[in-house]
Amino acid sequence: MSKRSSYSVWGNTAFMIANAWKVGKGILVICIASAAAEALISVAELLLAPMILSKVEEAAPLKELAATIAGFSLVLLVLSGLKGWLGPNMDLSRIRVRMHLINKINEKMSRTSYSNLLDTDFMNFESRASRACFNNAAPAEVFWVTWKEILVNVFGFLAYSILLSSLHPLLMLLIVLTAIAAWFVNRRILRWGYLHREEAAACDERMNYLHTAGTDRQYAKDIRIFGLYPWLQQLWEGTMRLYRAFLTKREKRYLLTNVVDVILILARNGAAYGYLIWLTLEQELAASEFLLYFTAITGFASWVTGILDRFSELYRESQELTVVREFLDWKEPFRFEEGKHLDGAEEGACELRLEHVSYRYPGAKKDTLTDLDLVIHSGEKLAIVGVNGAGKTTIVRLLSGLLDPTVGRVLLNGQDIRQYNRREYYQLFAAVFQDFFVLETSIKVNVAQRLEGIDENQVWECLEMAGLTEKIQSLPDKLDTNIGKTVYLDGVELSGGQTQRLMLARAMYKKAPVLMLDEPTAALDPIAENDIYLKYEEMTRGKTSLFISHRLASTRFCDRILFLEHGKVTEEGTHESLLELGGGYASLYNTQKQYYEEDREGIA
Amino acid sequence: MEQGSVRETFRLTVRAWKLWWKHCPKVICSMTLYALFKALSPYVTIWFSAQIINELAGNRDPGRLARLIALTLLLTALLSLITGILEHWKVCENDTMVRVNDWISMEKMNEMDYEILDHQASYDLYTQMTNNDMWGGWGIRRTLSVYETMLTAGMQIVGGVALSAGLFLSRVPAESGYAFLNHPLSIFLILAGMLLVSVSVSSCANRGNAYWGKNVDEMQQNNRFYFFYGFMGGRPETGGGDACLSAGEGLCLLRAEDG
Repeated sequence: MSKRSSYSVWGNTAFMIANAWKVGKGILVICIASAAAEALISVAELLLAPMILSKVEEAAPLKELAATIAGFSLVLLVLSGLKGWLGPNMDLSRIRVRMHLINKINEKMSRTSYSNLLDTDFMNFESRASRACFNNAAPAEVFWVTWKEILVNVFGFLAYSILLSSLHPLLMLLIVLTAIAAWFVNRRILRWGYLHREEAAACDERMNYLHTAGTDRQYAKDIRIFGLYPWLQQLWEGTMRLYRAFLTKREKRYLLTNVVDVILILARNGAAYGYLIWLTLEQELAASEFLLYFTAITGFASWVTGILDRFSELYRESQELTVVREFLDWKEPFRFEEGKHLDGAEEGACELRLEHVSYRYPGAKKDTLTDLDLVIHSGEKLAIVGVNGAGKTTIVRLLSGLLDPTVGRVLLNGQDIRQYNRREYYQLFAAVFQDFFVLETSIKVNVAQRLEGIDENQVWECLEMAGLTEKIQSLPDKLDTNIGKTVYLDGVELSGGQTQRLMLARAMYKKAPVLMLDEPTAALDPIAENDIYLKYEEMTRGKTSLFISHRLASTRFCDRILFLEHGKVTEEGTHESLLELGGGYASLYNTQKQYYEEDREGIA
Repeated sequence: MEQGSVRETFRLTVRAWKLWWKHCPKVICSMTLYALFKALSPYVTIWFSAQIINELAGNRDPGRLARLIALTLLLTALLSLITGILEHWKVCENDTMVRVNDWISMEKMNEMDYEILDHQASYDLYTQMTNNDMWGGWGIRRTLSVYETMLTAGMQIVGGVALSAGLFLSRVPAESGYAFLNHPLSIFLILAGMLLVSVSVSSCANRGNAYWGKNVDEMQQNNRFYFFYGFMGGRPETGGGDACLSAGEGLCLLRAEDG
């Protein structure tokens, strides 16, 4: 778990400003300008009616009245136009800053230590951080709107304070106190929603899941074949009833805020009316001044409430931004930026060793690997076989530096790999995993894993090695053909076997000194599989290689075979020596062989 | 994407309203009542405020002022409470409506033949609908806010007309030199001018909003790009280890930035 730190509202504001400074300084100017424009509009609208009424009271000439109206109209026109222009620009600037945060989250996720991806705390933080930046209503974007609103309320408060400075201070105090009292009482009432957020979240999660299940193509077949739709409908309606009940309960509670507001506004307006009427009757206050002061009093209370409300919102948004920052600052267990440089290993001299290694996955009750001691000599072709859950893939992950052992060390040429720069270390390995990720881009980019400087001749060579030349030649755009239809509608979908061969080509292109193949032929037909075996010698020439498979035919092409059982190497040797041993390997082999021999007997 | 005609837009909007009426009629009821009270409440306050100003500018009778103020305060409080009740009802129905929106698409997709559903064009249309909805609330949810806006505006027009009818019916003194304003044509021209300004304003706003519809194809491609490369975190098992060793991580980040 990472070291947690807390970030204040001001700290998060500084963080957002720093990010805005990098990608969109305009947002800062727009915020302030927009707030000033809005506050000025409010002041102009406040003064408009009293000014006209005062001209009427003075029986001013029509021209003077028209000039006053025209003047105010012009001011309002300019300010409204400015506000209207600033609005969309603010939207774009906000989005730019939010996108920058999303990119930072993506970068963190893409480059983080692999072990973090297995940490549920880390993944929960990622989920919350992503939600904080997900759309236009997310805290990462609304943050700017809230700050703008705070500035509007502060500017308005200051302007109206000046206007009302001639009134009795007790009245001003009453206005401020009623606004603050309303705010505190309402905040307490509104806390109900926060305290019961889990109830709403549970309904939301359920409905999100049902909605995904009901609209995702991958579930559509099962829903139709098994007639699951009425059941989904029933679940949905049940959850909706619970959700409605929660919403009704919530809004009934929140109605108390309106009751409190009505009482306090009644008290405030009653006091304001009483005082102003007294001023009017006793001190000959003009009707226009009465109108000005009464409207200003109402507006002043709104500014006070606005400041308090907006700061509450800012606090809530800041909490979400804290999650983003904590996620981005999550500690990396591997050395990425620092760490020793590799010395000569990248030229092919790679001896790898698991020295008394044990590994337990986070949250697991027992070790996946227990006190494993294993050496892969430089240039050796090693096969690891075993049943599901024996720990084969874990060995691959430990050797390639994706995981660090819980106990023991992983050594490269006798040196602990933890001292090395991990990204440089990864350059030593080319792998085809069981779970691979094909990018929705062109074939050549998928093979070369870069956008520029692609050696197309080498790409073709690797595709030839993987047995994909004929397929790619048949495509109209050949190497430039896009894979997948999610991003490019004209993309092609490769079969499972073709995709696996593409991954093999990708591994070949990297020309890494260590080649790791984890079930690389699982999706291939026997002829294609045989093709790979025949080329295996050529693929692994000059490299250290590790081959993991259930299909024992592959082990014939390796120098040494390890049989893994319950996290330990229980047998080691060549194919013939292991068969002679008559242990687990021999049993696995005989199990695979028997179905072919039964068929032969059937034919006989 | 082609822009529809006014008739087609109206037809689709009415169809969306019927869909909402079928699935959650209470949304429309709560919206209607809330819009009515929200729009008309200020006019009540304005009318009473005008009476108070009138009295202050005229006789300044303390008794009458006290009665007017008491009525204003009580009526404002009552209307505020009723509007508050309706607002909370509307919020409750609105929050439900968001989920009903999800249900409408779910229901439709499960009614479709698998062959049509599995077609990329169908899924693309659904993705576009989702993007439009997420981007700015465009889609059938928008038709409800259109309904609310139209209703509120209609009520405000009624209230405005009711309050300002007296203005247009009162006569300008003949000796003032502006007696021509009493002519019905003058009144008509003033009203026509006000209408022209109002229509021009909304026409300009519509042109701005139409940008979204005209450029939806380009935005759709960008969204597809971004949704694939921009959220690699959602695929840690396939994007993590595989990406680390294949150096795909950097590639994804570059592509996300392109998007």
